[in-house]
Amino acid sequence: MKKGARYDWIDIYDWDRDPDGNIIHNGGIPIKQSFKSKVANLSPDLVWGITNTLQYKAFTLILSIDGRVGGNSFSRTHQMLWNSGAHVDTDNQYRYDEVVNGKNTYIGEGVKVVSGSVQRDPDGNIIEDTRVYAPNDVVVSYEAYISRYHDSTSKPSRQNVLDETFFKIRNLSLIYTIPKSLSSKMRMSNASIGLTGQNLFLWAKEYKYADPDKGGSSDSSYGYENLNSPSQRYLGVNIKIGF
Amino acid sequence: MKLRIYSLILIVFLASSCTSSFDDLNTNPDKTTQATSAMLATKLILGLDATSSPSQWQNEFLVKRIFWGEQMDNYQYNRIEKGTFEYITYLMNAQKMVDFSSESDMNGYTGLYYFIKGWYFYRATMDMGDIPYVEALDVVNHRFPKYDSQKDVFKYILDDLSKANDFFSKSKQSFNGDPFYNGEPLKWQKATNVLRLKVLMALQKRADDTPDLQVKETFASIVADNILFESNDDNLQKNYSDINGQTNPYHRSSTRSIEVYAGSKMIIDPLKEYKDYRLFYYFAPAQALVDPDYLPEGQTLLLPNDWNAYNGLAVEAPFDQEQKKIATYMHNRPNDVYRLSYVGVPCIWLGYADMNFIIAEAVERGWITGNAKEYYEKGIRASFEFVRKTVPSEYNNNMPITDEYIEAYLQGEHVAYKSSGNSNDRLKQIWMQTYLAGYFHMNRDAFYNHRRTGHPAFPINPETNLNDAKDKIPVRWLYPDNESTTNKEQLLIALRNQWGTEVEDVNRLMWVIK
Repeated sequence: MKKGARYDWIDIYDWDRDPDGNIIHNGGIPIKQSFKSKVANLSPDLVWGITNTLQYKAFTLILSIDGRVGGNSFSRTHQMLWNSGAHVDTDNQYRYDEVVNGKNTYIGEGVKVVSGSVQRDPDGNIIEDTRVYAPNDVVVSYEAYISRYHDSTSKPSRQNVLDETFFKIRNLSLIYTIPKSLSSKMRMSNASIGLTGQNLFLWAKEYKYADPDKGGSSDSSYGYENLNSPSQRYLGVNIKIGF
Repeated sequence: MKLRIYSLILIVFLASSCTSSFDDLNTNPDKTTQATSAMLATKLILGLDATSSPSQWQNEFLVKRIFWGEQMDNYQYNRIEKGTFEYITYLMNAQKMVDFSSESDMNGYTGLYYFIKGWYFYRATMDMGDIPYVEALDVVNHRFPKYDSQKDVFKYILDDLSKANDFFSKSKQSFNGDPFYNGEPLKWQKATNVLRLKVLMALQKRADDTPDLQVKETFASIVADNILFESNDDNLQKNYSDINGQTNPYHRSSTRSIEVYAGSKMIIDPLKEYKDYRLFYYFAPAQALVDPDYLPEGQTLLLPNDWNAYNGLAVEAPFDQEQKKIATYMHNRPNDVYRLSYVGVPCIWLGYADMNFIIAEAVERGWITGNAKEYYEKGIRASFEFVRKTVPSEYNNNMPITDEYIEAYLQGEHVAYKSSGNSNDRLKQIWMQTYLAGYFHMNRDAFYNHRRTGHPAFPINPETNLNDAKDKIPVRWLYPDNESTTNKEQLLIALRNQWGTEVEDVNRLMWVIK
């Protein structure tokens, strides 16, 4: 840790990589380092929000959108979707080959060690490295691979530490104020009717299957999106009558 | 001015009344505010198995008796990462336990303190090598405790355990808070001595070139004093019950993946070869072979007591290849007593059977005089008796272990002690029986034993081995994370002292097994 450096890091056991950043495979299976390293920062660069009220004649439009830029967290939802085979992208040719045709066809993307070895100090810094790499060509079971690549629930995998950048339409209401002439006939001083909706739209850069807005950033599981339930979408009708 | 004084008084009054009522409010009447020796003792004793990191349920994978069908397990495929010193911090409480004791039970608690101290440091040094010992518990004066050489650590451990023995022997009165032995000092003294034998046997490779540790002499004198386990009743073991919070941890309600635990070739092959009935007590028959609903085409239905209904998986084989057998219910799960009974089978931490095997090895090595065959057979009998007593007959797959059976087993081709053969053959027999008796007990011991003796040999498949050295099984854990962040200087010194380099590696031999 350096003076003036950020203290909101996320450190996990990253994949072991060659100097070009390719994941190193052992027997066709990706290998994690035995040493933790910093992979990202928790806090967002910017949290923004706009609330606007527009009025045109009898119509009022209330719009509130907000979002976040930057900031990372480990998404347990994404990891476990993959790990359990429930992720939509796990339904692919490799899985079909394995389950239906009984044939392994998957080759993990990365390299394997052909010869040599690496020596590390207790922080994981490389002291000596004589490893020679070749592209990984070991065919393995897709299930065995994915259940390691997206490891069990308590072991965050690097690729599931996601950027929380998102924006969402948090609130949208359209209100029509009934003309005085009409409302006074019904002995009302004023009346309005409106449609309102919350969480109508969410766009997220990397969080595709969980709501990054709920990424446990306030409780003890800081930096963990912990199988959050999605934000509910509310749709409603608003009738307001004054006498 | 007057107003000011009044308001001051009012503030003081309010402040004081507030604090006292908050104090009352914040005190939980259901919790004690005072620790006693007995309470600390209970926690410490029950925590003795907290020494394995990350958790005990993986240890059977580490020692290759179980194949795990959930996903590729690190331990099973020889990937060992960081160890932990966390449990050494428990010893702070152990010191308090002695401080709070009264004159009458002080000897008992002091004995327990030294026992637990020896226990934890033994585990830590066996896992990692050199560790801080002398300065480890004195955090006030040593914020950066220096590491002691493993040889010294062993010396201190043996001293501690010898002190434990002395204090227990001086103790006239039982102490409170002990769920295992009811605070009976004699029983603890026996356990202490059994642990001492285990520690000394762990030093076996250094017994000849390290005369100052007096390995053989101490071993001989402990056996001569003979305050040792006399039967399974003396075992230091954790019993489970059907009371909430004390249930068998492998019950499927707590360990759901017990359904995909599969017996390995490592244990099932020898059991079958030796016609060992423990097979039927340790494992359940393959569901596919005994249940018509799962029976594959072309196979005949077998009875649960058919030897052919038991086939181990290869722990070193490609994961998916073996997992297919699990998917088709062709694997042998642990016996129903582990999966379905809340009472389960007690977990032995220090056992009578194991003790006999250790003594048999000492005789075989000439450390003591005696009859190795007798100890060896006592150990086997103890294991069978334990199994038959703890596994109710409804779970034995109709293969009851009778006295006659045990006697016949002892005469079996592979089991009968090879008195006329060579010493190495006999040692291998002892080690194999230790391994077979250790199923779901003190399982990291089987790892230490393997590291020391190499038998029974763990299979290595370079194609699937996740260790960086493809043709090796790792032999140690790395030092914990927080040592490199908070005590780096001392850690680097320790690495240099041990291996002449600052490299952290799971494949380097530590002093005790060099």
